[in-house]
Amino acid sequence: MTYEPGDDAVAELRKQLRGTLPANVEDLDADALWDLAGAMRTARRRQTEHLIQATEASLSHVPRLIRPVVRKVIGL
Amino acid sequence: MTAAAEIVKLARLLGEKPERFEYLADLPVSDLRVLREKATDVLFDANRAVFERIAAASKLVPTAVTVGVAQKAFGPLLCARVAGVLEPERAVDIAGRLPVDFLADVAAELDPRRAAGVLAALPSGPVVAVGRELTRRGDYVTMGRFIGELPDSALRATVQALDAEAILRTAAFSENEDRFAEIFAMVPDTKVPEIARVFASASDELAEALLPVLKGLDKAGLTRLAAAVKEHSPEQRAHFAELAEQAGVLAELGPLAEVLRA
Repeated sequence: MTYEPGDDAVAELRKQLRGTLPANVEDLDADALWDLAGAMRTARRRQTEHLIQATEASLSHVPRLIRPVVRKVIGL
Repeated sequence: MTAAAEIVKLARLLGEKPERFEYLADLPVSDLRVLREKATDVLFDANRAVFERIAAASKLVPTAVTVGVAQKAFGPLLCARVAGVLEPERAVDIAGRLPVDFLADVAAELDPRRAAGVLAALPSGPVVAVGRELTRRGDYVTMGRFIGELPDSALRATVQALDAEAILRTAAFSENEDRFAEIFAMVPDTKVPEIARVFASASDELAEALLPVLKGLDKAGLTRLAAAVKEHSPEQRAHFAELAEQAGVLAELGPLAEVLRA
């Protein structure tokens, strides 16, 4: 089997999307595949950062008395 | 739905501009949908454990506190993710206390497949209010995503509340073409001439988006529409027929095609 430049890009996209994709998607050129994988990675990172900031911020809106319990349940 | 509409949905999910994904424009819509659904699943599952813990924590505080946290700390994106793991009754209780514009923001981020239980439990009132707000924003991408998951009662109330162009543009972004006939049957008789007018006077851009919707209508729907189109001038009918021909749907329009060709 010969190595194709798009192989790494397909592997990266499959990794980001946790599985194979329709053949028409995997047949896109390598630049497009890298871009899709990058957009996916950025979206995940953005969501996680937003989640961390929001859960921390949420505690300031919770009555002081029950903050420790809420903190424990959320896992902060 | 067109590839362009699918790209808009994918771009919104990933927080990017649609232009970034121009290289997807020639792919089949069905493949783009698979891509978007996989991306949706990955983003949801990436932090699922935290979403579930937040849902559990929300039970420890009064609903009023949860409502404040939702708006002031979480924002629409995380609310949409957490809604997918909340018990429907709890989600409905919270939604009932949130302002309509915030609910519309949440709707734009929500995966309707994961929130089907919540959507089924929501009264029609808030659904219609959010539908009106999304129409005011011109956000038919979001509206189209909900067609497949809304219960009949809420869908009917929404269809009856929207104007003809909003109904058609929503249908154009729908992922459930098999519900078009059902939706058209919900359109009151008084609104059918308005629907016919939108088709007959559509610009090329609008026609390209809307005409595929006609293929999803059943014979009863096409007959109803044909009766309204019959009232149009020969010039209007000719324009409508030309647009349908260009979109490649004229041959499939049965009783409507007969009136258009007359």
